[in-house]
Amino acid sequence: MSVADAISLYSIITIWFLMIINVILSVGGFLYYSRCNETDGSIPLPEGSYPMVSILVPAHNEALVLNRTVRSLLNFDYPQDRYEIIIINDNSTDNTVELIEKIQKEFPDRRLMILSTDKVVGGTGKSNALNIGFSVCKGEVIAIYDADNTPEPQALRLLVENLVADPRAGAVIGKFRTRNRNASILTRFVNIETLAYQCMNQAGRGYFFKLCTIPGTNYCIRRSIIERIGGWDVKALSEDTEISFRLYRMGYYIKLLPQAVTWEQEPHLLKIWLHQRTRWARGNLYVLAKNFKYTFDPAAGKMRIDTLYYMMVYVLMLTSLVASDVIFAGGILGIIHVRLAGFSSLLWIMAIIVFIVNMMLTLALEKNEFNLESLGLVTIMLFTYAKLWVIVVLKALYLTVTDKIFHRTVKWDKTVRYVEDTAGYTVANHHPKGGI
Amino acid sequence: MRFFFVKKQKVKCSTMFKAAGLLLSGCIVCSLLCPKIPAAAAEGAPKAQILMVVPDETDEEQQESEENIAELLVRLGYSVTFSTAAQAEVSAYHNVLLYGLKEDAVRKTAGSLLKSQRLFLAGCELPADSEMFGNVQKTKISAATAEYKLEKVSRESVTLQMYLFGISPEYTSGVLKAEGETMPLVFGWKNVRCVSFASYISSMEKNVLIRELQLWLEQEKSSVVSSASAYLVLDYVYPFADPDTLNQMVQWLVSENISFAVSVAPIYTHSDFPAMSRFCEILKYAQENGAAIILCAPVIQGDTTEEQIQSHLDSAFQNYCDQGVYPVALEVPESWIFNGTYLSTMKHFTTVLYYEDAADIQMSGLQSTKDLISSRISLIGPAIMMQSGDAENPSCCNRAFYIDSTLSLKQQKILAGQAMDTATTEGDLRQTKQCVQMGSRKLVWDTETMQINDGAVSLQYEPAEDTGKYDYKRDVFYRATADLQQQNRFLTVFVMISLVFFICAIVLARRQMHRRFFYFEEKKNETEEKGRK
Repeated sequence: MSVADAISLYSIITIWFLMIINVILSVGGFLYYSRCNETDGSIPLPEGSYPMVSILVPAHNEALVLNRTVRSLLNFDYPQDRYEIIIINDNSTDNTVELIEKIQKEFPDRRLMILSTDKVVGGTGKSNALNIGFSVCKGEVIAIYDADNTPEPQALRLLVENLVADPRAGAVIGKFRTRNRNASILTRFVNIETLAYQCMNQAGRGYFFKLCTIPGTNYCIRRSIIERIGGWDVKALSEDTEISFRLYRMGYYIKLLPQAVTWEQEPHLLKIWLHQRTRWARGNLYVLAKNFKYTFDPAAGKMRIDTLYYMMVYVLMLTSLVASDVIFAGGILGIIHVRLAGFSSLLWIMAIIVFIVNMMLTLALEKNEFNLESLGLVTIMLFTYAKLWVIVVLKALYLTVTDKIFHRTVKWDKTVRYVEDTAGYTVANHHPKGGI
Repeated sequence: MRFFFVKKQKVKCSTMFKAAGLLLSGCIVCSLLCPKIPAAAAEGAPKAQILMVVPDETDEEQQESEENIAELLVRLGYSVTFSTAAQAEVSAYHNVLLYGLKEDAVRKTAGSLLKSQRLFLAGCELPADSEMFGNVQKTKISAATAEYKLEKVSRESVTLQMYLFGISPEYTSGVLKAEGETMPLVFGWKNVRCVSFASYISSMEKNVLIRELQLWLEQEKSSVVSSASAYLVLDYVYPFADPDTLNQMVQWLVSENISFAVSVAPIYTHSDFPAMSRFCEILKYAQENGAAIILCAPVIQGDTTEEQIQSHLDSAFQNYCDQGVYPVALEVPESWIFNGTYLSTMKHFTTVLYYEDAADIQMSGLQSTKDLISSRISLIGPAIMMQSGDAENPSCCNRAFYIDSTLSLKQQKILAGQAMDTATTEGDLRQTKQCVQMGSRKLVWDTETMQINDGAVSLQYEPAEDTGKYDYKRDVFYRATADLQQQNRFLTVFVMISLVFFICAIVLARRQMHRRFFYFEEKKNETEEKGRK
């Protein structure tokens, strides 16, 4: 058996294995969403029993988008006296403070706070900012929103109601949508990807295993849990994934509530997207390395399924995609010759069709997403956008390894924002120094 | 009164088509590639024993006939080169064969011949008035019947030209009958032969030609036409064919005392597998009982170098030898025998059998058939299909009756019986000395003993015990590949079920979305109405 044969065999088995898992997860996702769509997600609490909620919004030079976010947070249909908004102005150099102060004056009777940090205590990332915000907040329930979010009015209420209603739920997460899907072809791809991810991976895992990963925004969590785990891990670039694993280990589950929706701004330029996704991938690799030891620990419970799942994604899927691409390119160039027989081309074509139909199913569960344009985009993104994932993870791996070797401190990489018009199109990019 | 029989021509060929046609016929090389220099006269070109002069323009039937004539000459052991009438330097050749020429071309070519030179006319129009044929008068008729030995053939829709010869032929053979008149099918004088057929595609026409060609060529030697051998060859013998049928056929041939050969497919890998051993058991049994083993050449697809072919044949030969089966001859497609690339491969065998194949005959690397003839390879061509009951079918050259071993036992026996009925002399490759040089092995069969690299080899068959235990040494790759093939069905079903599910789910999801939309719209309207009140 030649090396090319072995690699091909590995790729084929792995890709089909992962595909079967994805199809199964999609079935679960569809059933979960269907069940959720039967109701509006509300579990009304007796009047006066709504818990105090602290909404933490970490912001580092987010003035460009923060105004819209804060106004959306103030517009929640949650009892106004039962929630506070804490903007953690994390060493910003822009006009965040002035902006918040202006809103404070506009809504003097609302609990809107701004907590500014300096270079000494702040500016080291989202986890640190959340820990600072948590140290001053008073709510029994902590809700987290990113600075670029515009949640729907009922989102917080639905999240809190569902959290309170089920004591086994450590956190309840909502759905995030792409606010600027029309900004570029990239944001259209991201829109489809995020919808598919939440339906297939989040809802699918939630349906079968009651496992979901906290998405970093639009979620609420019990204060007691944060206190017990000692806050967010400041070393984690993806603090959301990291905290999810700790929740599992404590015996809680994370509930997905697709009716609680927030709209967020996604990167509209490839460069920005690559930075963001590399950060996520590095964060997930960190979490995987940190939690891999629990994979074979029965006491870790269901968390082992998620560590295995992440292992499959970051090891099996990555290596098999890289290998299949190398074999494909080598075959075209006539460098690599594979003797492996077995799978017919028809099967591969059918697999591509399954992928496309699978993606279309996730879009069929959303309003205004199931159309011919989406079908075209899904087909194109299979051969373009999906390939970028390999580059992102390879880059993340490289940076993770070199950081270890050269003992570099991992730095938070802020996603660059831009001004949108009402239809979600780009108006201007945000300059890191605060200008436009 | 004398008659001459010429088939109606359908010549409408362009000059370009002529060139392609001649190349396809496998006959013309230099004469067409270098039109100003006749091939045979080109400096340094090997000179063949026979010059064949062909028309400038030919139709498909004539091209095929040219191919067949060339093949028959090679089977008789003569080299041949080609030229058109305009370019032919007939004085340089002792034997000149004219095919399909019109009256003027015949007059020009034959007129320049010396008396010592010998001329064969196949399907040519005789000139009305020439020194060689005297005063010839011709009359057209419309149908004729030809008889040659016991064979008969009728021709319709032809133009018959009845000739009155000024000089009576010294030699005649066969009869042409047309409208109550008769004339010889073959006629000639001392150094001249004429065959009336214009086409040499059917078995009878080829039979007539090959016999008359041999008589004409052997005339100078004053030898009697020898009766060549007919070989019975079990063809398409593969390890994965039904071993029982093969075994029964072999046993029947042995019991009937029929000499036969077995043409085996080349095996390159897994020659130590139990299936191969079982297959070779039958071959060894046949070998012990007098059968000659023939190694069939690989089927060439795409560009293959001489070294690759040689390497594959070496491998196949060695694999059979390792199993105690010793091929003494090679079987190749007909297109190989005119191709220089394959000639060096064929030279490793004393005897080469060939079969008709669909591939175009190419003359690449050969200035004429002389290279092939000088290689001293004993060529055995396929038997021309005989008319039933033709006991005196001409047998001028060795020929092979190929019997498809994939047919039923009954059919094989019938074919073998028919072949033996038509064969005057039963051939046996083991009755002639054979020599094979493949790789580092030199196999010599001297009609009694076999030696490989000067070491005696026993052909005695000893049944081997099949223990039923064999380590196939199948690694993960082979197991997985086999498993993948088995998984194909599972995955196809899985994919189909997934597709059906997803499509149904999409329909349900869309219906649910519609329902949800209207439900919430209604609810919203109700709330608004309550608010107004």
